[in-house]
Amino acid sequence: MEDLVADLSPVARRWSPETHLAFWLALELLVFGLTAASALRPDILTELGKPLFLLEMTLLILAGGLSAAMALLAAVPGREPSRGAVVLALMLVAGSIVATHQEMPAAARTLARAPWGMQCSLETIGLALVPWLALLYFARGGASLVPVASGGLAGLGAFLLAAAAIRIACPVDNFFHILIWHLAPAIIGLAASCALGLLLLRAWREDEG
Amino acid sequence: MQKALEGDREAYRLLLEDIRGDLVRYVRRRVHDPQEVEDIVQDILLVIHRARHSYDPTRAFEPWMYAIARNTTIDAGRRKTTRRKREVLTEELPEVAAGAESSDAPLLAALEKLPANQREAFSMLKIEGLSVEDAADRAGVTPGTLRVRAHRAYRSVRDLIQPEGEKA
Repeated sequence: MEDLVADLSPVARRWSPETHLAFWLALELLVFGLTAASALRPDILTELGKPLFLLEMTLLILAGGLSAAMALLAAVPGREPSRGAVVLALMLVAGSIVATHQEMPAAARTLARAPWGMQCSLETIGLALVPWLALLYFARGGASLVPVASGGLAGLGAFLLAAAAIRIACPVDNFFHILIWHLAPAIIGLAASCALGLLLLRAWREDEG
Repeated sequence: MQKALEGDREAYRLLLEDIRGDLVRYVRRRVHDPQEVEDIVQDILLVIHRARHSYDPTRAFEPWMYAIARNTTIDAGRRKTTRRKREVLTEELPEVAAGAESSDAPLLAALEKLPANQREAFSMLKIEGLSVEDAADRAGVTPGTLRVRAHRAYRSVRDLIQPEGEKA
């Protein structure tokens, strides 16, 4: 105990998870703004008039925002998200996928007609990258007791919002194209982010030795 | 805690003394071995110290502290399970050391390559023959930390001297 007292030094007050989230959402707004300014799909106004498209986007954005909020909360002991909140985020993703499916005409629900979309996947990763790293950086400033979950949620949040952003840029309306080339990167991002979480988000508690 | 965050050592000492009893009671409800309880409480205090930057003074202290206590206690339980496997490795080590007796040079060379804390752990346990507890006291770390360091040292030593053995 004496060693701990002797080792004490003042610590700067860090931003709350809520402030970090506000900053991160502003960053996401910038990403959406840049996407809209550079590569907006030509029929976006028509799409925005469709309730199912709006529902799909809303659910995806809510799931991404919720995941990001949980990633930031998980970096503070005692504020770790409940399993219910994680399940809710996954249900929002599932709801978004169902809305996408329902929104497409029958011809656009076949895998055989799904256009190749490597470009979409790369753009999704590109759009996710900065917000993803920002979330990991914010979470790293905390003291996560659940680094894998915190990292995974950071990846999920960033990649889901990137998938939403790419939806307003990509003109392809095919269920499997969206599922494989827009949303599957979120699964890869989630896995990579879990690993990064384990690597980066437990540094605060590493033995000095 | 607010004062401790600002660097007030006296306030920090009082806080640690104050919460220590609560933590002992908390851990005792989950762990029965008194020595283990003591180790875990020390670990919790260390984690609290390292995580203090994450405490928000506008929020209640107890949920933050007990989240750390719960997580550290669970970690200790996991470590206990894996420690048993490591104890087996510890028992295997004399063979490594004994094998090196015929030629100490590879072992000494391997020890030279280890980080200082691992070399210290190895030397105290296997050369000086100290118990884990005594070695931990001397190194100023918990027995769990010392075991980890020793385990890493054994593994590194084995990896380093194995090729030499094959060459011979």
